[in-house]
Amino acid sequence: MLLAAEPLVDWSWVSDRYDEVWSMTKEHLSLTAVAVAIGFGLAMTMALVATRWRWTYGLLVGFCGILYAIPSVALFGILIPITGLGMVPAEIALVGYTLLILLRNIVAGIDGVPPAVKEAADGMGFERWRRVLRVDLPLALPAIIAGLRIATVTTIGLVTITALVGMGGYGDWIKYGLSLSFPTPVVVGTILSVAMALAFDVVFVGLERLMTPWTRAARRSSGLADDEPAAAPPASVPSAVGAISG
Amino acid sequence: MGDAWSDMWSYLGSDAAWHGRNGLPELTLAQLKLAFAALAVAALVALPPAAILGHLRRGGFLAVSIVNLGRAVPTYGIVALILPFSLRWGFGLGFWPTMVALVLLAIPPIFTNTYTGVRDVPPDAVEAAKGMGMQAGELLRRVEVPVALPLILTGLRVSAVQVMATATLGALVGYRCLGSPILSGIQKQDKGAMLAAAILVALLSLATDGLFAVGQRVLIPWRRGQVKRSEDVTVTPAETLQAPAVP
Amino acid sequence: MKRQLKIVAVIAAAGLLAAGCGDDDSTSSGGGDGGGGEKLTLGAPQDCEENAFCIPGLKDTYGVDFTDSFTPLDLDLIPTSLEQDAIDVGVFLSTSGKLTDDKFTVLEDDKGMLAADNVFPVASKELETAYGDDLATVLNDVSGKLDTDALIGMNKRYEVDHDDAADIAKDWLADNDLAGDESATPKDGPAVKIGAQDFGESAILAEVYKQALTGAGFNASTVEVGGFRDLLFAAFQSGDVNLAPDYVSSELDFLEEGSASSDVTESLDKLKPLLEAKNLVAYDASDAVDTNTFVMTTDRADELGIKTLSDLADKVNG
Repeated sequence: MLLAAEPLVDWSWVSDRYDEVWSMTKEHLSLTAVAVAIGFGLAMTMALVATRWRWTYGLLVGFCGILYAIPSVALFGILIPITGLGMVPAEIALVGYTLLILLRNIVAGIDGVPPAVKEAADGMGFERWRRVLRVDLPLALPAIIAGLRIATVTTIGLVTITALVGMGGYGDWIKYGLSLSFPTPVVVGTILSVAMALAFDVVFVGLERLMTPWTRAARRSSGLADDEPAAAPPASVPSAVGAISG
Repeated sequence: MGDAWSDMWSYLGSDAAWHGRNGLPELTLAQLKLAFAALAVAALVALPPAAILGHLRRGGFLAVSIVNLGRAVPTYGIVALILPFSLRWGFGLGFWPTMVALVLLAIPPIFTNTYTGVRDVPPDAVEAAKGMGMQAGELLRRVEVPVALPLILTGLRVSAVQVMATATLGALVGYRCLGSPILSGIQKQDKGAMLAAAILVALLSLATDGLFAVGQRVLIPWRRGQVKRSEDVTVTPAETLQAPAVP
Repeated sequence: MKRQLKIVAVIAAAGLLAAGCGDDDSTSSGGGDGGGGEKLTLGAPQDCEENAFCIPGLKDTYGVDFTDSFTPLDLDLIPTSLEQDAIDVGVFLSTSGKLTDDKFTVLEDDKGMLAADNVFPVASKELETAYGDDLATVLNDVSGKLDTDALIGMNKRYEVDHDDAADIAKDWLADNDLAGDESATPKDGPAVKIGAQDFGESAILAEVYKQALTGAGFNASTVEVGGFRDLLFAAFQSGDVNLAPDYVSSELDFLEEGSASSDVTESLDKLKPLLEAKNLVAYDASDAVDTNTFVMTTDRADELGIKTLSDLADKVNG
């Protein structure tokens, strides 16, 4: 590996192992899907609580922010004595990183619904929860999808680090290559992870455009709306970072 | 868990935890040194071009792509990948490969936020300054950057936390830092050191974030208590990254 | 605000200074306690300072103290560090595939300090009772043919040629007439689940057992334990695993800290009752030993005239 003459990637090694690539792909996808699904469920719950009881928002964002700021390796270090290795600590860490971005986006989306519309719905006799479900959330969809997009792409990158607790997806090859000082699987594993992330990114962008072409202007202002009231929020961690997987 | 918890207390009570090259202070210092250096370099590399491009209102596509790519790239892979190159070019293990990986990862948030911040300075302010006779350089320095400061600081904050986190991964390529006891703890029975280091890293990351939050308040007193400006796009700094302005 | 920005700029500059002074993790601070001796650095995993078969062992048995000139390094990174002369002596596992390369020389343990980490099979009591001699024969045959050189060869294929554990095992078994054949009568009894720990050699050994047993008619498969010894024992407990390759000295130390020694027979005797308490049984140990070993580049070793650990001690102590 030290010789300049040696190529970085041994493609024949890769082509002998397509079945491994396939099984890693499946693992990578399932780890991502589970994390985003659970994260979405939790974030949605928190968002609904936060829009109903405004004062909780700061606390919830603060909590998610703390989870977000803690590096995965540190989180694993804290979880392993409790959960051992495997799917559980992997998913806890992965879900933890989706919460902040999903929570903020869902709330921003709901907040972005023009008050006039909400009043109209109330005026038409919608009960609060029905209104949220049938009016607010659908109109918040663009922001929600934007959040899902970022959460998914970020999670895909993070899945690789779960190799440290026995999972990994494409991270399996990164770990293998690192332990043997063998670049090929590291390069290929990284490329595959990036490719998957970009593919999902494209799909989500397409989804965003598909769903709401007419609200592109409104989306901009709702996505960018100031979602914090006058009081500055507590540990309000900034969202959306490239793979804060450290 | 009870075991690990008591292991941790015995570890913290031991001499090894506090002295010598494997002691927590040494490891923490190593972590901080690396993180700080990487952030400084990334800022130096990313800020000027981003500010200039923002001022010129060009290269928006770059800003968007850079952050998208940054998000899509697995840090674990980058750190592992840098190693063979580092060895090939004689930079060895440990500090330099980790440093390079960290700088690469820290650039996107700083770049994009600075770009967007400078670019989105209200045109009125820019016009007014030009009306007062300011040239490009002065305009940038005295008007655009200060107005963009909230976003720039947010970008720095995001990068800072990211860098602190990734410095932990340096242990994978031979950099002795707080990540080292965590990673070796996976293989050991006594997880005391692992737990202690993990909690310490978590606290450090939170402290970093908090430090920048405070810094934001201090450096931008006029934005304290974010006032909602109804119709226009008040960019909550974070949001820039999640809905990058389409050029 | 200008002043505040200035403060930030100063902090940033300090950061750069820190970067400049940052590269201190590979300095060799010189070693040994002899006034007139060579300063040599030792690269080893972090626990070398407490590991009885590492720094303390060198001190007690050979009288050379590396405490001040020890660079903690992951095992995986040591060969590279040695090649790059970042360290003078490195700890390798004695079965490392890199040892087939002439550029590395293993320093002989002439005073017998190193741990008796012989490879041996551990099985659940249930499995032993179910199969008795049938199982014992296969396992002992394998152990009989397995030695350190064999493992080095297999590891070389894994670490350097990047071959798969299954292929490596298959070839070795074939070369040693241990592959059995398809006409073997199927054995009646519980399935054999062989635990593999999270490193290449364990995977290879698990495959060796698995294929040897399959060839003898057993229903055998490998199970990735997903971690190391603590997980292996947990898997034995839960029944997910009922057979595994392990290492005498390390396992003894795991079950009873501080008991390990360089005597394999003595260690096995101490191990058996401890295993019995966990419903586990030990089979015969092989001659393959995977323990910490001290390596230098052949060039450096020749230059300094070092062949054994005693030579090393002499050189350092002057």
